[in-house]
Amino acid sequence: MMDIASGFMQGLATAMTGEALLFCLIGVTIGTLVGALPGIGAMATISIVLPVTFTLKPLIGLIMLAGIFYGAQYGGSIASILLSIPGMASSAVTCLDGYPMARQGKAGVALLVTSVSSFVGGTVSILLLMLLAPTLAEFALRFSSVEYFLVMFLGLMGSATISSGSPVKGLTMVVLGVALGTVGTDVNSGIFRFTFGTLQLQNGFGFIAVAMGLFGVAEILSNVGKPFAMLVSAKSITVRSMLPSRQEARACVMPTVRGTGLGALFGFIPGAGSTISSYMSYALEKRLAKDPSRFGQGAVEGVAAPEAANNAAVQTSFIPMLSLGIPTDPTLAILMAAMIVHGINPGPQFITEHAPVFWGLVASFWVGNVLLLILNIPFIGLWVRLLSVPYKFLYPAVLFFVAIGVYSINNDPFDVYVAGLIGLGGYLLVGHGYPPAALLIGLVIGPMMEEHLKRAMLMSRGSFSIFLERPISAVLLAVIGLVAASTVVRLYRGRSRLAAPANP
Amino acid sequence: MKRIVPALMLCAATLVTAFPAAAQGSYPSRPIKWIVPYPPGGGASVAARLVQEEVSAQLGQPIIIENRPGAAGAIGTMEVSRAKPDGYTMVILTTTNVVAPAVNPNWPSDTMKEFVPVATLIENSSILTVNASIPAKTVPELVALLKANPGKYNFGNAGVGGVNHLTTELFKRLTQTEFTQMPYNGTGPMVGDLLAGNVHATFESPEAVMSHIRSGRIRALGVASTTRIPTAPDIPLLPETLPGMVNVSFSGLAAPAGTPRAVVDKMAAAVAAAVKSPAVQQRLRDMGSTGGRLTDDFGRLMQTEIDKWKAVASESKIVVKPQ
Repeated sequence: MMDIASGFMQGLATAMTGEALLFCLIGVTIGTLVGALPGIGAMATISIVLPVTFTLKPLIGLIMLAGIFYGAQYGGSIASILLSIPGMASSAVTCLDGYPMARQGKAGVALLVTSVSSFVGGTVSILLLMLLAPTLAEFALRFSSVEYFLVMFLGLMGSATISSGSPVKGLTMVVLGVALGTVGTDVNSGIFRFTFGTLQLQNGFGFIAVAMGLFGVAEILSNVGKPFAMLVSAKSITVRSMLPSRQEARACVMPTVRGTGLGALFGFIPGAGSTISSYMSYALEKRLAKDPSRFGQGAVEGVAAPEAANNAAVQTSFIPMLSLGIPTDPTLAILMAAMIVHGINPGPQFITEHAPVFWGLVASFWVGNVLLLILNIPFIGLWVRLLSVPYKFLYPAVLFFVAIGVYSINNDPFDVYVAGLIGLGGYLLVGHGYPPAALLIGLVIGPMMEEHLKRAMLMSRGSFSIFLERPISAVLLAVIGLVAASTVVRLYRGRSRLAAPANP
Repeated sequence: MKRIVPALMLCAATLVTAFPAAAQGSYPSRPIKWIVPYPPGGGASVAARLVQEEVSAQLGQPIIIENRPGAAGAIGTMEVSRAKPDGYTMVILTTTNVVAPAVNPNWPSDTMKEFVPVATLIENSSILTVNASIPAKTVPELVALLKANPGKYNFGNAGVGGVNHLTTELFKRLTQTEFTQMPYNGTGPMVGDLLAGNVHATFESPEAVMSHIRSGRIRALGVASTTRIPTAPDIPLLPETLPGMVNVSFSGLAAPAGTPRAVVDKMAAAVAAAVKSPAVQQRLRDMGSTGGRLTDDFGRLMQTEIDKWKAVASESKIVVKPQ
């Protein structure tokens, strides 16, 4: 314990020097901007900024790059709330309740709640990172494709229920997302599926293109011809309007705690930690709420929980990278490459050989989260003012940015076409009550699930009993069984309740 | 009326700047673009950025690195093969460009015909590592273990049709053993499973496995090269026990075919100087790699590898077959 405390104090001293603070601030600011803007994401930004860090001291460069990474999680929620356009996959659930809140004039409240719950989620995770990094890393090692498949299955199951409409529609969108996700290259054989000879589809449908189409284009299309001219009138934006009511504030506490727990737990899941965490925490809150019908209409819990979850997940995702040298995210792989280029090899030796770097980095996470909180709050008023721009100017501008953002991913107009076509299709689906967020998680998780299932089968040489043989997966199977059972029970009870009034 | 004249002048001004700068005088007279056909953050990007600044300083013109990912490298590769061979657009070729022609009948590019090799930036050979729990400390012990337990062990690779997949097939042929290949999407997840013991052995690049070898969780049995790794001289050479067990992974600079020889040589000289700089040499050593093989030497390397992998792929019947 003493080691940890003294290490952290030393790290804090390093992280609070002028140079470190400056670059931390630059990093988190860039991260927030990049997370809020559609298209270019943390990964591309970090690679572009990477050469700049070669001229800096290694720790300072890492602080800035890491700041971009978790800053993007903060920024991702801004566009979700204001415009229902998720900056990244993990912010998609925030649209479900954040956007209705904005339409009710409570955008400021939503943004404030996001900032605070993100801060809580991030900070608690950092604490876990500090205290339990090696233990959590060992725990992460016990997860193999068998367990990952089950966790993702659980995540998908939960996501079918996030929509406020019929769960069948939610499930349909999930399955549609999984179907779209089959397009691309098969891991085990290298065969291209459903690409029809198109080079650009060899990696599948880009998530950003689909998300921008489904959320951005579809939303804008559905607003064409609507009578009201703007979302929020400029007069109604005051400091008072940004603060949540006491009731709302109290309602956020437990969701934030639960979201943090889920995010910290699942952060290390490769490639999808923050996405699965945010979707699952939303589904969990909806299930635990006394009145689930509020979700989707502007329930503040639906904003607090996923945001706490994705920020917690992003911090714990550093654990496998720093303790074991295994990056669970392509963006973390770039960060690792940055460290390697500086001659610092993350891995088991890292914490002992380069203790000052490790503690400096961890302390900078905390400093960065504080900076983000301080940075975001004054800007809330500015962001909300954005909504007072009349639709006839706002939406073409948004469409323009979406197109540029989508193009910027691969410098390829093909992605823009994808966004447009999916947007048209999405407009039809969303208009009939099919939840777009469910399709997104299917698209993101589906291919990964397939990869893990195939690998699990390879590992077991074709025997399904491997799911029961490994302890963690047996537990996960039990959880899946429970969730399925309780869903069925609920549906059955709901039906009998509906039938009851007919019988006197 | 009042607004038209300034507007027209503005238009005229922008039109003037739109005329392309005519390439006059000696090369280079304007910025040079290096296209990396992979997403940012990968080995090719790291290689390019490693020498970017020094080469810019040597040539007096900025080097701009542009990522053009897609189709496992085909999109960016094709773009440069079709570009004007004036020395202002170059590409980072990687092992994919010598392996893909062997396994992918639809690979659209003929590496040796369409490109003039300039210089390698990073070169290394794969290390055969096993999880520490595997009771084999040398290659003969491993081969004996594999022969005694056919099909029991898992060899992981970072991608079907990749150089390490083919290297593993080469190993299979040379040792006449039976084991299961487990493909992954990328090195990270595979190394994770190697550490956890779900993957028992793998051929991987030095920078992916060195820190884990040092930690003792995995054991290095040999490196697929004829020269030892300077920072790890105790790793034996695989060709000593298995003749022919050699591979090379590289990231190198190349120009479209038809680029004037003088231009190619000038760029090669700049890259050579950059690679020789102490900073780059240190980084290369940290990665267990070398660099700076020039033009014809680089070309010979690529041709050897292309021929080798063609043989391995056709004998092991590996085809990455698109629909």
